[in-house]
Amino acid sequence: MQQGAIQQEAVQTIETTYREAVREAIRDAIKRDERVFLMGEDIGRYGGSYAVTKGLLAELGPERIRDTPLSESGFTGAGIGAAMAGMRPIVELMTVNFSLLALDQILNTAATVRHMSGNQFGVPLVIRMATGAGRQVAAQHSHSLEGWYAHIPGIKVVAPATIEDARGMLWTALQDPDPVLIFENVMLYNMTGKLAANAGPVDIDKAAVRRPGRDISLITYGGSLWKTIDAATALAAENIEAEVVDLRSLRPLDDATIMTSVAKTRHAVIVDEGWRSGSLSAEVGMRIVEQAFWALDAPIGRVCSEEVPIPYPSHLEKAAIPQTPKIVAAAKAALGRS
Amino acid sequence: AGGLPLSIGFALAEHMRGSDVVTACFFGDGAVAEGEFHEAMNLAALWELPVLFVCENNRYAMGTALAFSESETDIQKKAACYRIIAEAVDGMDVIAVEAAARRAIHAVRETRKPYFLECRTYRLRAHSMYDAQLYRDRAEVDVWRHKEPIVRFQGWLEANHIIHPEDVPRMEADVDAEIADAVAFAEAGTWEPVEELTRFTYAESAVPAGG
Repeated sequence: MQQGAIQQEAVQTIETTYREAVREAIRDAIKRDERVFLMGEDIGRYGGSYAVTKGLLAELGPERIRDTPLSESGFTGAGIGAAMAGMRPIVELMTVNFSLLALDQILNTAATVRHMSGNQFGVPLVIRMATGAGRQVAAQHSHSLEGWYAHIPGIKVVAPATIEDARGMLWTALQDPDPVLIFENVMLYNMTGKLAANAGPVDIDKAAVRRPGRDISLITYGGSLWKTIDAATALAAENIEAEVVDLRSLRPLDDATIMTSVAKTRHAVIVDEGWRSGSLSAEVGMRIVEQAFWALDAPIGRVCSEEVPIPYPSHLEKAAIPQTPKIVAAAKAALGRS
Repeated sequence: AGGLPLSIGFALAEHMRGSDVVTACFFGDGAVAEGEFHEAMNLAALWELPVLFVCENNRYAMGTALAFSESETDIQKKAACYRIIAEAVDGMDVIAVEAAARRAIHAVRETRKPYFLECRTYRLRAHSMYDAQLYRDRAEVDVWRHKEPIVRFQGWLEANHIIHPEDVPRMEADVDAEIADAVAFAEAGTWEPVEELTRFTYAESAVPAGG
């Protein structure tokens, strides 16, 4: 995958990958702030299950790159405690699937402590995790549950889809006084592209228009962004100019950017790797109905994952999640084109 | 049980800052059935963190007696198997608990490693106002009522001539007055404004709530 279409002009750029951008963000944060450290399963000696943290243990030492046992609830809770005690921990959960073992700590503690304590305590914690399908690691490792987390008041949820966001969201998240969950789609780690040599923090609460267009708004995030951009390119060949909105932040949602786009195009399709029922796409769709119903010329469309545990065989895994042809078809259906 | 992992984080923060602060973590016998208890024990011992774990074993997790929920009811053994120094103390004996706590805190300060103290006690009253106490006999409660720690402590203080019996009514009156003052203060307070229902879901310096 090549990320180039949206690269802005920069004085000096470096060729890098999404994986290296995440690694550089971690390294930079740990070097800049003595309160920052990373802990998680197989992040040190193994180098990270997706090789994100390879080399960091040797460079930064075992106190700042802390390998943990398979105790998601234990070390996520430890991250919450350390954050409450003045540190700025980054907890890495190997995949969103395993994050469910830490859900008690994330929901019942991290998300609630500020409100329950009347603002006496806060949890400035960042939790990173891999999400999504495509690596043929079956239903134990391939689900997309970020929409579930976006349901929870008290936390923020972001999904960096570009190399700039992979590099820049972490530092901003670490400055936030409340828990921020960062979802890294597993199919983005190998993505190559150019990054400004002086790339730094980016906002974590605004959506971004990744491709302008007048005919239909394709609203997506994370790993589906590039499939959606490919779909927009295919649609352009048929004289349909699609606008691609990258949500970036799943909680809070940037309603203004979504509604501005829909008001312009009067059509919307939402692309979400989560399952359709009760999904983030349902939330986005309903907000459009609530806030921009009279701007719509046609029913809203959705492309989501099939309602099945993500299968192991490659052809079934591909069929289970949003793909470019499905997005093209959904956009054309919304526009009444065949 | 959810507080046990937090105590690991508090102690880890102190450890990383090189301070001499000891973290104390209190929990009940019910917590030891949770996975989080075992994860926290392992992390505290593995990472050599200065935590004093205090298990208040009152023999019931809400309405379920320890014998109905644990294959090993000797709780301090569970900590010992994680190579944490562990001891049990008569939790109905104020003096014994104080002595054990001082010993334990001293050990944590000296070793910078965790220590486990199980205080064996009993819940004389119901778990909550909704608890009809169908799960235990009146006779069992009566046996324990005779071991009531405040009465026992009072007897010890009198026997050792630390207080005189005539001091007791004055102390009780002082405490009653303090409680009455606190209740009056609370009753005179105002309710939180409904307009502030969602306040502090997030910090006010950051992006407002309402996602």
